[in-house]
Amino acid sequence: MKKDSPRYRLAARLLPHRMYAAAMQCTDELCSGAEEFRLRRGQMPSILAAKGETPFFNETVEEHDLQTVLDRATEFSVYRSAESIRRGFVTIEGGFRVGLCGRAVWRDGEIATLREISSVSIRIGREMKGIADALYPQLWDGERFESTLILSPPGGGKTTLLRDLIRIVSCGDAAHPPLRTAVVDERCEIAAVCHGMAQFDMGLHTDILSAAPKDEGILMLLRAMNPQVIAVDEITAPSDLRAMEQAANCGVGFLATVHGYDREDLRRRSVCRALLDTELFRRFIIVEHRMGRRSYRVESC
Amino acid sequence: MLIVAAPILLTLSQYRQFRREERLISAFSETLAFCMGRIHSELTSLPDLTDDLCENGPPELYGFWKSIAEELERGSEDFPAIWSQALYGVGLEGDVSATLLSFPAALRSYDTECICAALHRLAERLEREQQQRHETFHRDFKIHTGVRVSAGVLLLILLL
Repeated sequence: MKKDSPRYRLAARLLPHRMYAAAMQCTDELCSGAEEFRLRRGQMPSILAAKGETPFFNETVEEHDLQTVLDRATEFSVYRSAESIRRGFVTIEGGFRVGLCGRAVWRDGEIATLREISSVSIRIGREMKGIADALYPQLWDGERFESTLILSPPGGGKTTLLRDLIRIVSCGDAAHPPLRTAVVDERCEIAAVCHGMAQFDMGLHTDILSAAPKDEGILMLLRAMNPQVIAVDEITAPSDLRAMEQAANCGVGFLATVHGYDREDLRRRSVCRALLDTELFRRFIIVEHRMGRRSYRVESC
Repeated sequence: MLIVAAPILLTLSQYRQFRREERLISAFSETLAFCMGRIHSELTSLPDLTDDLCENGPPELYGFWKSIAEELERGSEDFPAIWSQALYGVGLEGDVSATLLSFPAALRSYDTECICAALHRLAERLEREQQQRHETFHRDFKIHTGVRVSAGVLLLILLL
């Protein structure tokens, strides 16, 4: 992603004017690997890439800078994003996610909102159409689409791959028919729906449920939309597993992601071990990083 | 003739200006009610609210909301600055202008109930100020008009 790429420029436009100018003067090398802009109060703002963080502006971030980012992310309407801010992020048009950190305000045993914002990360969501083209045929067993789990360490590109897989499953290809696909986009990251429109290409037959917890969302979609495949990002809770099992019993296939290097790594964690033990997933896509390049390996069981 | 007409024309111009400001204040009151409704029931964002007001708000403020919509579209950083600049362009002065300057602050809350309460207070203040302006103007208008017309007639008699 170069600095003249529309996605980089759109993400940079959330920054205060003075930082925007600096972000647009960064080298193409820095911009091309940019995954996030990170602003921490009292520190220099930086660009997060695979190699780590690199400051791009030699003045420290002030309170009003963070307020400006929040104002722009919420279009000067924090009230509209209050629920999302409570959960620590705001999704904006274009599919960018602004993560927030500050002082949590507790009410009735849960976080009511965030005040005194201390840091902000602007995640530059990527759309890489076609990265799953070669993998897709391997996810079928004859006439049947097999539930697939994507494994990768954090920041490895799980969501980007999941997004492209959803698009292909939903559209179908020359050898396979399109499938009714439903997405539970708990953190509004997969489809980044804004004003009712998905900001990424999710295919022709995809229904998206945004900001719902995965467990409740899966069951809700099952009842309401009659999906053939349900996609979820980052399985972390036993309740997610229970909901997935229930849906699988109704004949629904799954596309899901989880943090992990390989299946052995998953076996070391209780929730993931339980996930493997359900034998819900028949295909595993392992995202590997070699020499700064991503590669994908499909395993069957 | 001109000597007699001048005070009358001045009075008429003052009355016209007063009526214009009255209409503007009423339009702002109507706008506040509109905002309260939209924010409370639909959580409408500021740019959507602005676009809506450009088309469906009081006609007296079309230009005002249009200038705000353009600034928001341009990606300006500071809404209070955009608001105060647009308000300056409308030409309202004094207490009314100072009251309306607090509109951006009223929208700052995370809670729509708080926003509506703040907008409601603002609307009440505006109504009080409008009432006060009304009384003051009518009292002054009678006195000034009487003095000016008397002066004009006196001058005319002297000249004749």
